[in-house]
Amino acid sequence: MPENMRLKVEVRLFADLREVAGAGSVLLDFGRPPTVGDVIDATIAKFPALAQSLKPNGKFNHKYKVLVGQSVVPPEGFAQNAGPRVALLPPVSGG
Amino acid sequence: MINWGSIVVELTEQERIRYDRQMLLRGWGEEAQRKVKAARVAIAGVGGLGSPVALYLAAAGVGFMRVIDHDIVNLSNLNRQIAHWGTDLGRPKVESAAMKLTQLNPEVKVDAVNEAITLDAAKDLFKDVHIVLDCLDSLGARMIVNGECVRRGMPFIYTAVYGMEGYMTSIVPGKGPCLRCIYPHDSPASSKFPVLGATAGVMGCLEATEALKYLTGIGSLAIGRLVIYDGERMQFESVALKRSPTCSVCRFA
Repeated sequence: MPENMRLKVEVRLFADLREVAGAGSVLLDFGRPPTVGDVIDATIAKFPALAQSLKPNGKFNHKYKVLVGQSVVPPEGFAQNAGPRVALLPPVSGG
Repeated sequence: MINWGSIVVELTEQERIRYDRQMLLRGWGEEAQRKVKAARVAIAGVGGLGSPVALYLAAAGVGFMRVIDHDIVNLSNLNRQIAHWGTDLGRPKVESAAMKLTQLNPEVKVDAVNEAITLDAAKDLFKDVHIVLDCLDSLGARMIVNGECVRRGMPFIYTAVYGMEGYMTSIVPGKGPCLRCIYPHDSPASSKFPVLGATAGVMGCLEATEALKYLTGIGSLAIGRLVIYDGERMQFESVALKRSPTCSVCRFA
């Protein structure tokens, strides 16, 4: 596939996810438009240490929020297309 | 917005001088300053966030501030909890904060409450204030604030920090999501987390700004919007948040 046809998705990681991954963001490359679920799986493939937080027992840990663009997408919406910007956010309570 | 009716408080000549620069703000003037003077706020937690929140609200002339915390000042607090100094080690945080606040602005009345936020305590501590500033350090205690504020229809500002990141939203029951809509699931607090003092400063200042906007009716609040500060990138973003129709706390609010 020509380079300009490939789809790039920037995934940003916040708080403890950023610490565990050792990076605040990653640019993922897809050959076809990925779903939100695809992006989560590709992020875990890139940073396997995130599996324990995001998908312990193989199921998405619903305490994390998935932001697509400027909206929150609940697990029921993980089959939708992800778009170019995804963020993964844990609940933050530090004061 | 608060219905102030006819505000009875007047400004003294000294107060006109003290608040001169903020009264120059568009829409502020004497009227907003009298509202600030008549305002009563509760600050839940005077740690990393509560320190700048309390200091800036005192500096702005908020008439009554109830500061609530049950901790004592530890050495490891001092990288970020700027209301507490090296000379305060071992003192209750509320006592340390009250001293700084009244020295900064003797016009402000400070009620220092050395107590933990519990369901019972919240009922009493929030009954006579206009707004609550959530500066706590656990989701559990924040949910107590949320429940009590929703029950009273009272706004509160949620702010939290981690590392060089900060999160803030204004919760106005009935007008936007409550904290339970945003975080439907409990999650245990980590007792120790990384945080830069300046991050708590940035976010505490945002929180104080929201409170003063609410008290004066100036500007628009971050209702239904999570403001995210990423200090590593030096970037602010905003994410839309929705009310949950099945929220266990606010679905009837």
